[in-house]
Amino acid sequence: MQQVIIIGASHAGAEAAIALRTRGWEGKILLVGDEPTLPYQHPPLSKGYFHQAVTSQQLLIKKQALYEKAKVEVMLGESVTAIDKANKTIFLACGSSLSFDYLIIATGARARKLSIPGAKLCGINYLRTLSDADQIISQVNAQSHLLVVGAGYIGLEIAASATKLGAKVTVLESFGRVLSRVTNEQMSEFYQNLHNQNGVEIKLNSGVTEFRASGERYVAMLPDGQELTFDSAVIGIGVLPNIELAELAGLACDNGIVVDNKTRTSEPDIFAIGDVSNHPNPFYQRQIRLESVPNAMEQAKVAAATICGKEKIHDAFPWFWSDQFDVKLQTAGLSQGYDSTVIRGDMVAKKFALFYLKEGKVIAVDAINSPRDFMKAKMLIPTGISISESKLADTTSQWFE
Amino acid sequence: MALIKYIDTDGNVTEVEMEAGETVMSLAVNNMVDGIVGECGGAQACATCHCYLDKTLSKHFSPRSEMEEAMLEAAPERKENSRLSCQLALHDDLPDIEVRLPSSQY
Repeated sequence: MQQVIIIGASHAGAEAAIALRTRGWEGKILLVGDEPTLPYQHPPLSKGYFHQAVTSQQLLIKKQALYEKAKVEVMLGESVTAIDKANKTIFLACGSSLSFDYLIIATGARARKLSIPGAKLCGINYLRTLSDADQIISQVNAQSHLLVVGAGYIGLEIAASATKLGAKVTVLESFGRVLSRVTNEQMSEFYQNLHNQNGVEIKLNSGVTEFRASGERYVAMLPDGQELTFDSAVIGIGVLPNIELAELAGLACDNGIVVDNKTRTSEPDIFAIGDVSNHPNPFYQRQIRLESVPNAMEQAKVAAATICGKEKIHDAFPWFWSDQFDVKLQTAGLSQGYDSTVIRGDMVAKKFALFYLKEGKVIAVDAINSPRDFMKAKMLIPTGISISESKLADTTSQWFE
Repeated sequence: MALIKYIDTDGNVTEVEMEAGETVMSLAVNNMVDGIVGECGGAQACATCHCYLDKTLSKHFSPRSEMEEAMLEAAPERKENSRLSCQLALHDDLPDIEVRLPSSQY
């Protein structure tokens, strides 16, 4: 019997396993993951799960019973050590090997580590897995002071969630503004104000040069010589795609595993999906790598369809969301390369959309508590819309009509 | 417990037994109902769990929130009885229900 092996019990991995079955794959399906838990959703780890609105049971992407029903064999707590593409075999840490007809790599990404003295002290954490989250949450309470290094989405979401639990929070950011990689200055200022209003202390153009233990607490040495005492820290300075297995196997890699619009790697029977894949985007006309659940789910379906001999290409438009305090951000598109921006709505009322334009075309939108604008933008931007800046800004009529 | 019938645009029916604590969305994704995607996992961020709930059944569920209303307003194939199925919480007192699925979520 033919077998598809999926490496990585991730969002992409779980989705691919079930999608293979629903699209008619009749052979074996094996999902291998190095964590001890069934695949779970990662976005709530810094949001609802962190501030205890979501339980670990609710995090599961699919329940145990579904894997059984779909005849997906799930091998947990097992790592893959190598892929032999010529012999279509994978090797496991336990010493055994397994052969595949098709392989799907869904190994995701890992947190980028800080390499400064004291970075390995036990109160210094990274948030990537459920056990990371549990460890961090156990150190956060109304009496504790949490230090967050890095004011990206993960860092700011953690800051918001920890504040909700009553902790004192300080965020250190090396750039001159928060979210500098993904938004414009106005949006950075909006988020900076939002956090300040809620009691989060943000230090810009800052960082840590060293961590020291101090009794039960820790001290961070800042570049300006200041010392900051805290109880636990989370470092959120980006992720690195887990490409080592693919690289070692000789698959083409470049900021992720390079795939085509059917999620195929340089090897025709090996696919790569989710955060680890570097894939073509038809709208932006370049290769991109996304850290995104919707992208992982879409690519999983494309890989499954392709393996089942069905025609399906990956041309989904990127989108993201972030929940912090009373603000829901929904982003459609990638803003890199914009040459102008337009605000529609009221920033003070926390209800507005920020449009990013390039050569007169809308290329992305950040919608703050504005789901209508987000939904319309997500549908219309991929069609290549040109709308005047005055029309985008004019709230007396809809910009999309 | 009672049953949910998921009916797609071609009239295909998937019948699933309800579980308290689940939603119409989570039950669908755990039973290979293809027409409900649920990309955001119930955060009301994506509207890929859009369904149609017969008006006579709406009294069994909490009404649409402002966020749900706004998401649905811009969703493809919006109808008067549109709901986000992640917001339809299942509980012990429900009768058998059926939901219809839009064609755009496949």
